Amino acid sequence: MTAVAGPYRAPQVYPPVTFSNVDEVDLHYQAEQIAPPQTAVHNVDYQRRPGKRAWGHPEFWNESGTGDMLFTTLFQMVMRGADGVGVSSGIPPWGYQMGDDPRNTSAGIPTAFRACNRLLAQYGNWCMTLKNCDSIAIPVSGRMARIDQWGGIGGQHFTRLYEAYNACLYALYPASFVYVEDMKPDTLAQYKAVLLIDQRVELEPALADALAQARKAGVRIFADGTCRSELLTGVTPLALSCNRVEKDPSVWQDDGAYYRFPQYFRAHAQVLRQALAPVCPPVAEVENPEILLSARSSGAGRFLFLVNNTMLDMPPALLWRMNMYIANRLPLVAPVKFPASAGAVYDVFALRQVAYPMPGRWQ
Amino acid sequence: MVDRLGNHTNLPLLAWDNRAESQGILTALTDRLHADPVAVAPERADLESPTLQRIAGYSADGISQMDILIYMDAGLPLGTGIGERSKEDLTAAITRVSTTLQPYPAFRGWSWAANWWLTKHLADGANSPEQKTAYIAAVKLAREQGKWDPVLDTVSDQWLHYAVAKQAYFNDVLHTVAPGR
Repeated sequence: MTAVAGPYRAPQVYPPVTFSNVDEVDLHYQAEQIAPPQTAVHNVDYQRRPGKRAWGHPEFWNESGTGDMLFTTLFQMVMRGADGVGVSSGIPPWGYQMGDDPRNTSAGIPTAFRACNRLLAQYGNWCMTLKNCDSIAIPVSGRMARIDQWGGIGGQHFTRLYEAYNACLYALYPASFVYVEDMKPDTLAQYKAVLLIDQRVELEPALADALAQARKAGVRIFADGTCRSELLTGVTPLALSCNRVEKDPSVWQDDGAYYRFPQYFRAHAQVLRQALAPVCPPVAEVENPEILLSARSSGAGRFLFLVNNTMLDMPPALLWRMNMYIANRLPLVAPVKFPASAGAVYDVFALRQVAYPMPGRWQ
Repeated sequence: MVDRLGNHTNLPLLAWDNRAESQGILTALTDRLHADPVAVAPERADLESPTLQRIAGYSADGISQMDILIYMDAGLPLGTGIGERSKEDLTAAITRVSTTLQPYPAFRGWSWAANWWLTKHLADGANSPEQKTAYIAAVKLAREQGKWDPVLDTVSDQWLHYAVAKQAYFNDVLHTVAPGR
């Protein structure tokens, strides 16, 4: 059995080529303590290859023992279809626990991992039988990848795709990346909408064909402001440009990115929701855009994953007196509204049917 | 589970080292057992290294592991940048680790590299001065006007395949020395 790591965000990584002759995908990403926000989940969708297992083991150097960092990171990866998740280091990550300060919560780190592992050991095999059922496709331009140069969190094109992907996640419209190498003429026609991001060179013929078929099938095709508009026909411009991350003052090793990046994603998400709502409904409704959703399916069953990723709305000057953004999420209770066609609804983890407090609404 | 077993820092862990406090203790113990007619069999002191005991433990617990061959931050093409290793050295590492671990159910195979980085990217991936000149002109046209020239495919194929070609070679070695892994 063979695998390889790209590694994530390296310029030589073009997944259809990079992983073409190994059996599995190693989602390794060594970010040196503070990975930019939302890279773990993006890693899954960007690098996973059809028919090959993808294993993720992010760094948790800053997990503070509450499980806040661990749970949101790993469960986002699971909700997007990683076949196995773990940690890049031992547990606890630094090999020891700092226990002589009563304010220190790090003693909870092994407990958080145990809780996570116990749950995933129980549900992991079942999760691997599910398939993502996204309505939105983001084509990855092989041509843009071939001339991509460092910028943002990796290459500039790579970063723009990352930004669009997370904007979709925040908009409650999780998106699939589609590579030209995997495209058949009708591939894009199976989605409700296609987002063209940073398409700045003549389209690959296979992509042009697939877009033409999609257009015939009534699929809406949108293009963000980073695309070269004169190369595209029959597209609806989006009132956003996925170039905010690359302009961020400090994408690397900066806990403050966890304060700034969600602002970019939320702003884009607002625009996306307005554009996409007439095309298809989101996978479900939640008012808080930092509860991230993914829908997966098995036969007629549809499985909705909701992961709380709500950052603390507090400026760095205050939060950093206590802790870090990367290590904290806001606990909350949130109402969720399912599509009208939801039918019988079960809470899988609780092993029971959900009784609605009101039609289509559950919290 | 992935372990960095395939490089110079970790390969020695497959066996006890020869220091007095490692193999030296076991050798002395074996000698004593040989010399004592009422002692347990000397083979009782023929212990696997701690790394192999750990992998045996993984096997007993149903845990699988893969080994990483390439040392941290190697350059692509291999032989450039950090971690320069010959083809012979890499072949020997795959062979030794795979054959040593072959009896252990925990051993699933290899994740060939964790971090490796292009030392020849974009125009530097061209294989001749003429190709490099053509590439530079083509990439300028692509960035400024969106025009696509096939030389961009040709040159990028070269650097995109630095890793892929090595993976193909490593796969072949593995399938030869440890069929089915």
